[in-house]
Order: sequence, then structure tokens, then C-alpha cells
Amino acid sequence: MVTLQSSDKRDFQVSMEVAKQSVLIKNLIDDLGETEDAIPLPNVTSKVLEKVIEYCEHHKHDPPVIKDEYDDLPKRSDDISPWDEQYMKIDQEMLFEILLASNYMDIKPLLDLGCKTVANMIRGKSAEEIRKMFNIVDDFTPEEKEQIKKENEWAEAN
Amino acid sequence: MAFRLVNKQTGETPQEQHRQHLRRHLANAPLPSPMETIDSPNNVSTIERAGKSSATVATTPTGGLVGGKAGFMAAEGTTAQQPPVLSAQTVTTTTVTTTTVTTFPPLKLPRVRRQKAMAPDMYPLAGAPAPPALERFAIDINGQNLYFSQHNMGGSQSGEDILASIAANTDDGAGHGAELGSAVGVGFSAAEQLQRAMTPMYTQDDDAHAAAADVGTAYLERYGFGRQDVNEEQASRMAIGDRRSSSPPSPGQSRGFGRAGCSRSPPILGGRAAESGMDVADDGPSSPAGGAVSEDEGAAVLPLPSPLLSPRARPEAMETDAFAAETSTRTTLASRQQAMSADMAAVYDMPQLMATYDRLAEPMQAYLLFQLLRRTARPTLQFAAQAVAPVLQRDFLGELPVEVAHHVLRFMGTRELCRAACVSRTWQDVVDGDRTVWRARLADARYEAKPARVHPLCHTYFGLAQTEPARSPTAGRPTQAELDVAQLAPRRNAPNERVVQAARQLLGDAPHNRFKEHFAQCYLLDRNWQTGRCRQFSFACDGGSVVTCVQLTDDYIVAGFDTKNIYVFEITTGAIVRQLVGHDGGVWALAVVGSTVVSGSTDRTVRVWDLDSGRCTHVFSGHSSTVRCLQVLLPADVRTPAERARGAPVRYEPSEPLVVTGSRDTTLRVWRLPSPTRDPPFAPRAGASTRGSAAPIPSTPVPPADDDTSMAVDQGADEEDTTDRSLQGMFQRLAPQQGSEPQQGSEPQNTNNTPSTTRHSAHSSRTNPYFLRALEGHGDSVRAVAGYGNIVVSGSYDCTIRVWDVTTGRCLHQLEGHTSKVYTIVLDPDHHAIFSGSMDGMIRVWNWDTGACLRILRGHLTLVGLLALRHGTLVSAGADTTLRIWDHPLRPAPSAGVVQQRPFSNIAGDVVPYTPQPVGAVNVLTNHALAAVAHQAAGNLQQLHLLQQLQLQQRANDQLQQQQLVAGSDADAADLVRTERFMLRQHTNAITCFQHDGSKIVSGADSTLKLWDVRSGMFVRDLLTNLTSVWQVRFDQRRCVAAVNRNDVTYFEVMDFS
Repeated sequence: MVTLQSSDKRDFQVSMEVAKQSVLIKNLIDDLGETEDAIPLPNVTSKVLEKVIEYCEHHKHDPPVIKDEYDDLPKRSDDISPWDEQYMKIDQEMLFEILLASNYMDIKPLLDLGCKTVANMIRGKSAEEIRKMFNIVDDFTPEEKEQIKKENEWAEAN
Repeated sequence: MAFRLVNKQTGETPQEQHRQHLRRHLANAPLPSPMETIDSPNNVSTIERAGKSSATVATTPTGGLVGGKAGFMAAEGTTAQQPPVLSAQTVTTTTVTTTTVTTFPPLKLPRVRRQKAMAPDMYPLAGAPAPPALERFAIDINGQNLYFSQHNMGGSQSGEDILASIAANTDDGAGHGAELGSAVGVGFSAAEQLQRAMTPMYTQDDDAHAAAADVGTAYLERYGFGRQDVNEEQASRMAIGDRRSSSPPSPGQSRGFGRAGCSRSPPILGGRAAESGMDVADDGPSSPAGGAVSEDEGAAVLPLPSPLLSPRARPEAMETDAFAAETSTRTTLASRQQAMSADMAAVYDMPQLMATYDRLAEPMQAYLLFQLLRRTARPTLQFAAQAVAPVLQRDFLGELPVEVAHHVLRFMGTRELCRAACVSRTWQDVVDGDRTVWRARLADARYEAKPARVHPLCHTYFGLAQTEPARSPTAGRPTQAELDVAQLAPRRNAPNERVVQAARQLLGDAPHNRFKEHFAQCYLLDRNWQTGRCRQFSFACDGGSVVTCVQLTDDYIVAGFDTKNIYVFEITTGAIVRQLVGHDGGVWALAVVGSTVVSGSTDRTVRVWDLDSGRCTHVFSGHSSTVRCLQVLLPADVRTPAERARGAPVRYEPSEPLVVTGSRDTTLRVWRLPSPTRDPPFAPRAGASTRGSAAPIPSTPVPPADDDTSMAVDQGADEEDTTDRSLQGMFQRLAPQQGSEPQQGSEPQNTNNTPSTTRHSAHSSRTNPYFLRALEGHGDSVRAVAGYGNIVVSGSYDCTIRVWDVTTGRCLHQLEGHTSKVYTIVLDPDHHAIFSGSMDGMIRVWNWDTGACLRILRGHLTLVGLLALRHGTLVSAGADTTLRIWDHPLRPAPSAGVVQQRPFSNIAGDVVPYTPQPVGAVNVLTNHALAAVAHQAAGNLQQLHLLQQLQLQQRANDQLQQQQLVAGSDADAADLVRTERFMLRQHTNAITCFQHDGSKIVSGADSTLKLWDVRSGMFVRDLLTNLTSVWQVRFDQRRCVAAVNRNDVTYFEVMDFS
């Protein structure tokens, strides 16, 4: 078992295979050996860590990710499994935190899942709809707007 | 502190304000319209009421409860001379008795000062302005219109929004917070407004009894009873231990005192003063708040309307209060009165509620909020959702670390990506700010093949197109990004000017991302492919009835025929610009390297041509039968991706340009590849050729190789030193260990291993300086050859595959497994893998280092004659009329444990549905094909016959395979078997040719040329129809050329999609 400690000093006991899905922790353990001490994760709150651990628990039997070499595989965001989809039914705040945590903890499948989820939120939306969805202020001047619209309309044409 | 404020407010402010109301009321001076009353300079916010007399109002449903409350009030009223509650009730009474339409002056409701600093990240709504809907609204209660308006006061006053009309207030210059106010007098407006929040509270009270009991906190239960029960409430609060520890010594006490002070001192100001004193005293200990408190207090006093406006009204008010109190205690008020008083009480309670909420621990806040939400109707819930949702939204691309944001973008379609760039400046910067996003997109879209990392000198020697130096007009030195672009966009595949112009126009003149521009060009081209927008023309050709091979260059189509012809056509017009004359038999193998053409023929010779002049410069003889296949090997960077990643020094293999030819004579021969323009021409002596049919060297003498001027012109800027311009000298430097004379230096090394090779080399080198060695060992025709670096792999009709070291001629491995002729070989350098296609219907995957068979790709019913690997995707075509797309068998499944039966999104981000093909369902395929054929060409028995044959053959093959597996010849072969991802089955006859680039397949068979999408396996459309047959097809990024037969005439069909 490995103990992970969240930023608010809560300890989480998880099995080694769960913990090692985080490359950060895996490297830590590989380098320093197993430790009784709690591994501090100063960038992750307990609420988020709990959610992250839920993911790692569910996916602990997944085959390890081979990275980099196959980076030219086409990216798609429509291949989310039902469990993952359910898991990602969270508010934007939590999604945001999970993205940060999975990036920090280096859990690539979770990072991918989060990124796909965000991409799917954007899918099919106009710029205005995107702004609304993420509460973003349109800070272009009318001239800039005209210019940028022109710059990007090649992707809209048929 | 909170308690003090509550105390102060409830004790006093209500009274004053009530008085003001009362005074106006008694003066019987109705105001013309509700909102005009805002005139008073003291008013910061208003609640106005315009209503009819209370008498007409129905009783409130909460009567009973209010009654109880009234009782409390009354009781308090009797003990205290002027309890604030009472005053509130008095107002109600007053209102009730009024029969005229009355508009009350606005009352101000002070805000509750926050208990602690609220950091914006934790309290995102702390600084939020009130939504417009809450700035002003009216409520109808019991027939009365109650107006609530919230004003944003100017800086001089407080700079804050005023919560309610009712009570004046506020103040705190510091700008924080809110103060607790009690809504005085208000009754109406405050009550009204509060009704929204508070009415539920009253009903809640009933529940609260139970709920509170559950939770064990008396607090909620008490709360509903409002201020009357202050002491009890205080007590209950005190009972909540955790709150107390952080509180000033005795908040409850202070509150109690405050109230007592108020009630005891009739002069309101005096009472206030007393209270202030209390406040200060109380606050003394709690250091941080101390200063703010007094400030708050001072500010609070000033705006209070009653002392300033109408001192004389006070006695009246008091009188009325007293009267009201008396009334309430002695007589039973109308239920409406009770309701009004309840409403008023609710208004009074509201600030307190807020103060209370502030003091709660977070879990308790959640509990309370939940209880409130449970009591909230849909419209208000919607309001709450709208208020909360935006602050919980995140600007993902703007706030995430940029590498994560970029990762998100990789999952988005191109259209969405461009829309995202239009969202905000931040998003635009994330999308277009640097090359990362668009470069990744180019790779993902497979718009560019992996650049072949051939030795720079090859460019000059063979007229290979130089990569375009993409320099920005301003900078003299190209940036890394520009160099990348250059690498990405070799001139050969670059979209033509028309497309570039079109894209430029679309992209505008602003400084833009070069990768985006390049991507846009490719994207537009790709869309033309998808939609069929192209310029098309065709021309007939009399070169021969069978077109055996077609190659494209930037400007030309080079085609070999089963006659002895090689024609070169201008690709834009179809005009014949060259005829490469010399072969004496059908041309069955053809390669074009830059402006150098290499061909193999049934006349047993290999010829090298200069495309620009059309001259044959070299003739190699030695094969004793048809040259069926050839492979040019240019020195290329053969570092593995890992080596490249860690920056290992560049390693070029082979050490010089080679051509390897395979023949029906069962051998392969390795030759130096001469440069037609730089190396001395060579032809065998007359009679050296076995048939004596060596073609004559073209009459024009080949210019000497040491043409310094032409060299200088051709030299690329980044090339290595080329002072020694002889071919041998140049490539010696690539591999200095090879010695100065490769053919001599390498021979001693392999004498032990391959005596026969040595013999041949020794013999041939006397006659042909370009001949290196023969590779002997196959037992039948060599049908296919492929090479990478120093590795050459050959497939033969003897059912085996051999792996050779081209530098020594040694056979490294003999790969056995196929049960029939091997027709095609493809190499995958990344995995050191060999893919072989055979007449037995199997594709086998081998490792060229170990010779092991790694996978068996099973699916084709018979001959797999064509294979192509691009971007890790293998496509095979067979005589069984199908094309099949295979996931790279050595890569892990691209999406392990992932649902595959989803709509597939193409690179444009458009979702296209697809139905997965039934894998391995042979009968389905055959039946389907049979039905289709029978339907559309009932008379074409030939095709039916073909399919039936295929079916039979498949069964035989299956049995054979089974036997093999059982016999243990491939002990674990069953584990090796893989099936295809997609089967493309719209052709109705054997596939004669195809090409794929990782995103699209163009295939020819029977009467059509078809376009498919590689990643979805979808049929896109027919490029050509009504053909008699299709011989060959080739395409590059923007053009597609097919050699076809239509009514016994050979045509070339050219489609230009730019």
C-alpha cells in the first residue's frame, strides 16, 4: 500500500498498482523505493485526489500505455467508454482540477480523457456558443474580429 | 461581531425607518407613483409599496405560525418599551388601517458585513454585481405591489449595492461587505422581497422542527422564529461549540445587551449610541474587525432617514408603536395583519440569516443551502443555477497550462479549432500562437509523409527535388519553424500556386501561422478530393495495350508498357515529351528518382535514363531472365526514432546509392546507381549480353561528369562539402570504414560466407564497374524486392522470403511459412518488420533481425498481390475483389478497452457513421458479393465463377492452415493471427492496383476507380467509371493519374484537385 497525501493533509491509502498509474508516483517509488511515509501531493486537494483515485482504481487492470512512439495515431474524442463517460459527468470546476491533477501526476489516460471531454464540449459549437459555455469574454475589437473571422473561414467552407 | 451588528440593526434601524413610514402615512400624503419616491437624497435604494388597504387583503396561509410569532412580539413589547419587533409590527398595523393607495418612501436595507475576507478564487461570486433581474422587481402580495430596487451607490456613499429598499444603509467605506440591516418598517417591500427567500423559511419552520431535531441543532428551528427569540437563538447558537471558539467573548451576550439597550432608551439616537458603545466594547478584543466596525457604524448612522427628516414625527411613531403593541397583545389582529407582520419579520430576518450563514461552518452552510434549495421553486432554482453556473465554468484553454491546452486541441476537429481561435485573444494565442498545434495537426491529418531522410548529396546527384527553403521575407536566417515547414513541404508534393493563392486569400494578410497556412492548403486540397472538385482530362496513348507501371514527378507521368516503350507525358497536358527508347522487351519494373529513371525489362537488362534529356546512359546486363522487380536504395538516415530522439549522430545506409533488381532467374543483383548526368555512361560490350541485344547507347554523347558549372548551380546551401565530385568519392565519405573502393573493399569480408557472390562480383566487375554482387539462393522467380538501409528483402515464387545484407551479399534469414508464391513485400523500418503478401491469401509479418514470424494477417480469400504501408496503416488488395485495412499488427490496439462502434470523425471533425465490417465473416462477404454480382451483371458468369472459385479456394486454404496449426509447424501460430479492421468490398473483380497515403486509398479494378477513406474504411466515391479495365493508378497530394483501358484503347486519366 502507498499513502498519498493531499494538499489539505488528508491521507489516502491506495494499492501499489493504483498509485503507479501516476507516472510521477511511479518514478518516485522506483527511485526511492517503497516508503511508509505519505507521499505529499501539494498540488492536489483531497476532493480532487479522491476523484483521481477513483479513476485509477477502476483502470488499474488496464494495459500500460505505450507512449510517444505512437504519437502519430489519429486523435479522436468519440471513443470514451461508458464508465469513463459517467465518471466525467462533473462540473467544469472539477474537470479543470482533474486536468491539472492528471497533468501534474502524469496519468496520461486520465489526461486524455479529460481533454477529450473538453473537446467534446466544444464540438459543433460556434465561437459565441463556446464563449457562453466557458463564460469567456469576447475581447476582440470589431476590426480584429473581422480579421480573425476571415483568417479562419477556410475551415467553414464546403 | 456579527451578533453585534444584528443587534444594532434589529434594535434600532427598524425603528427609525418605521417611524419614517409611519410619519408619512399619518401625514396622509400619498405619493404619485411608486418609483418617484426615490427622490429623497438620502435614499439609496427603495422599496415602495402601492397598495390598497389591508382590509381587502386575504389572510395569509401562514397565519398560525405568524400568530405565534406575534405573540412573542407582543410579549417582548410589553417587557421592553420599544422592541424593534414591535415597531415592525406597528408598521404593519398602520398599513392595514390605511385605505388609500399609499406609497412609502424607500427604505434601506443594510447589508451584512462579511465575516471574513473572501478570496475571489474561493468565493467567485463575492464581488459579483447583482443580476439585472434583481436590481428592481415587484411582487404582488396580498393584492399589494411591493417594489424592490437595488441601487449601486456612488463612491461617495459606499460604492456598494444596497440590498433592499427598506433600510438605508450602509456604508462601509471600505467597500466590503454588507451590513446587516434590519429592514425597518418596511414591511411591505422588504417583506415582499423577502418572501421569496423567507416564505419558504416559514414553511420550513414546520419542517425545521423535525429537521433540526434530526441534526441536533436548535439553530435552524429557532431561526424561523426570528428576532423575537433572540436570547434563545443566541443560546442555541452558543450551543454550537465550534462557532463559539472563534467568536468574540460573548456574541450572544452582546447581542442581548444591544437589544436591551435599544429597548430601554426611547430616543433612538441614544439607543444607537448605546449600541455603538456596546459594539466598540465588544469588538475591542477581536482586533481585526475593530476598525471596520466603527467605520461601519459611523456610516450607518448618517443615512438613516428618520432623525434627519422628521424629528417631530417621532412621538407619533412611538405612539403608534405603542398602540400597535397594545393592539397586538390585546386584540386578535386580522390574519392578514399577522401575515404582514410575518412578512416583515421575515424581512428583518433576512440580514440576520445572511449573518448567520456567514458564521456557519462550511458543511453546515452546505446543509442550510440544501435545505433552502429544497424549499425553492423552479424559477428561483433556475435563477440560482444561472447565478452559480458561470462562476463554476472555467476558461479551459485560457487557464490550463499551455501544454495541456494544446493537448485538448488535438482532439478537436479542424473546424472547431478554427472556431476556437475566434473565441478570445487568449484562445487565439493558444491555437495560433506558435507552431505546436498546427504542426501536430499536420501530422495527425497525415497530410505529409514522413520526410525521407536521404543524404543531401542524393538531391544533386539524381535531380531529387530540393526541399524548399521557406524563408520569411524579413529574416535572413530561417527560423526553426520555417525549416520545419520546408521539411514538411518538399516541392514535389507542394500544392500548386493556385491553391497557395487561394489559401493566402482565405487566410488574409495578417501575420499568420505558417503551419496553419500550410495546413489550410492541404485541408482545401483534401476537401477537393472528398468532394470531387477537380480538373480532369484524359488522353489516349498508343504506347501499348498494357500499362505495366506508372510513376509521377512534379511535371511528368512516366509510364512503362508491356511493349518495349517507356513514355514520358507532360502531366498538365498529356503531351508526350520523351520516349525512352532502348529496351527490347516489355518493361515490368520502373523507378523514378528525381530526374533519374531506372527500368527493368523482359529483355533481361536494367537501364538508367536521364529524364530531362530522355537519354539512356547506363545499361546493366547480367540477369539471365526477365527483370521483374527493382528497388532503389539511397543513403538514408537509418537511426531509429529513439536514436534520433537522443540525438545520436546521423547514420546513412547504404553507403552509396544502389539499385537492387530481382529476376525470374531466381537471383537479385546489386548495382551502384549511377547518376545519368555525372557518371560516365556504361553499356556492356557487344556480345556481353547473352542475347546480344543490348540496346545501343543513344547517339548523343553523355557529357562528362566533372561539369563544375552545373554542379555549382545544383548545389544546395546546406550540403556538405562536395569538392570531390566523383560518385565514389562522394559516397565514400558516408561510410569511411568501407574503404576507398567499395566493391573491392567489401569483397574480402564476405568471401567466407558467400563464395558464389564473390565469384559473380569478381567476374562482373571486370565488365561493369557498377555491378556489385548477386544475391543467390531463391529456388524460383524473385517477384518482389524491398530495402531499407543495408537490408534487402526479397519475396519469391519459391514461397520463401530472404533477408540479405546488401553490403556483403549474405543471406541473413530465409523466412518460411507461406504456402504459396510470395507476390509483394513491404518494410516497416520503425519495427524492423517485413510484411509479405502471398498467393496463399495470408499476409505475414516478420522481424528482419531475428527472422521470426510475428503475425499472420488472415482474411483475404486468395492472392494478396498488393501491399502498402503508410503512417502505420497497412492496406492490402487481393484477387478476391477486396481491399483490407489493418491496424498495425505490431502496435498495441490504438484504443484498448475502448468502444469501437462509434461514429467515426474524420479529420475535419465531421462525424461520419460507419458500420464495422463483420470480421472474418467469409460467408457474408461472399454471399453479398455474389448477390451483388448476380444482380447487376447476371450475364457475367465469369465473375460468378471467380467468386465461387475463391470460396472453394478459401475452404482449402482454411483446411491447410488448420492442418499446419495442428501439426505444430507454427506452434503458437493461432496467437499470431490478426484480422483486418476494415474490408472494402465494392469492387467486383480482382484489384489490379491501388495506392494509399494514410488517409485515402485509390483503387482500381474492373470498370471503376474508387476512393476510400483509410481511417473510417468508408467508400467515398467513384473517381472513374465505365472503364474496361484499370491498369495502374498513382496519386500525389493534388493529382491522380490512372492508366485505363476503355474499349480497347489505352487512356491516361488525369485529375488535378488543386
